[in-house]
Amino acid sequence: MTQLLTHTLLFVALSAAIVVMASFYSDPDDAVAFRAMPRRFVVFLVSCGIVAAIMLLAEHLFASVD
Amino acid sequence: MADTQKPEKRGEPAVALLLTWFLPGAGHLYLGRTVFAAAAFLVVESFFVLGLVLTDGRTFEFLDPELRGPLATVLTPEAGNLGGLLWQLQKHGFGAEIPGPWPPFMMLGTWLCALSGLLNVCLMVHAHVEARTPRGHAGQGLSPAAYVGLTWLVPGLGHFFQGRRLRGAVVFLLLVGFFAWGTWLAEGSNLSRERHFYYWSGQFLAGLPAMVSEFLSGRPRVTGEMPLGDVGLLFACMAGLLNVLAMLDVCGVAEKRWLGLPTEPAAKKPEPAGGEAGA
Repeated sequence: MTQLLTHTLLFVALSAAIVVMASFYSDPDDAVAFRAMPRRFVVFLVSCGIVAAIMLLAEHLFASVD
Repeated sequence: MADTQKPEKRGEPAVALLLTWFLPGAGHLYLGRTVFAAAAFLVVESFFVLGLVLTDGRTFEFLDPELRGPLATVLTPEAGNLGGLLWQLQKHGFGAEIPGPWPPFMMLGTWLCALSGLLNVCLMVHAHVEARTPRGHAGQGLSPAAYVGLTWLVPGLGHFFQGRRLRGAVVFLLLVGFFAWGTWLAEGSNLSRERHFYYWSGQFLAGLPAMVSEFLSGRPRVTGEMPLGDVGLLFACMAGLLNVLAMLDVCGVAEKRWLGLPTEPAAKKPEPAGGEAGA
């Protein structure tokens, strides 16, 4: 459980870096880029969560060795 | 009557870029910059040839045998100097059949070959912008290629020189911080091209911090289990890859400034007051 939490926190940290850099790339204006970050961050995390859920479901249905 | 004639370009940007990719300086020669083309060719190819001599052409011997193939070298910094890369593959392939000790300056040699690719990418940017610059137009400030090079060298440095200091500071802290964090988690095991060929290519894009760390670390041995070693490897590589976004950011702004285009989107015109409208 601790390992899962550690990896989740590390993933959230890396996500934050990706979102900050993507936001900077998308908008040359600092104020606009900073304002857009929280929404982008939530969208990124939710999207990754959906992809992870689909992958886990696919693994459970088609690739499970149990 | 407004003059709608477009200013004459110096050449086709895509042609200049592709020519430079295949042969450093060829794009500038196409644009009529003969002296610059010769200097660019000499600098980039000197790095490449010296690197090749120091490594005996054995850089790609780092790749595991099962990974060796026609496209195996596409994701390397050397691919920025495509002509050189193809020549190296033609002449040396993936190194000797029987493994032997590495030459004494192997690390320096691989850096020089990788640097030649990166320098040529900067040249490609330069050729592309030059081709789009109208004849007789003197660009403003440093060339966008210089900002790309500065951002590669130290993440955030290009922003700093553009006067975007807050952004430069955030980019520097974020990317150098992630590289350092990754290196710490991986206990320095990421600092070896021989051990992690492709991850190394990614972290090389973080520039000087990656090179200095590798030089100072002396490529430490792995002596025990690293619970978060893979995460560290990923963090260090991502720092380099995210620096590409920073390079594209500085390049976009520098291009607009160079070509004299507005850097901010046009502000909406204020709506006229009700009583005075339609005068």
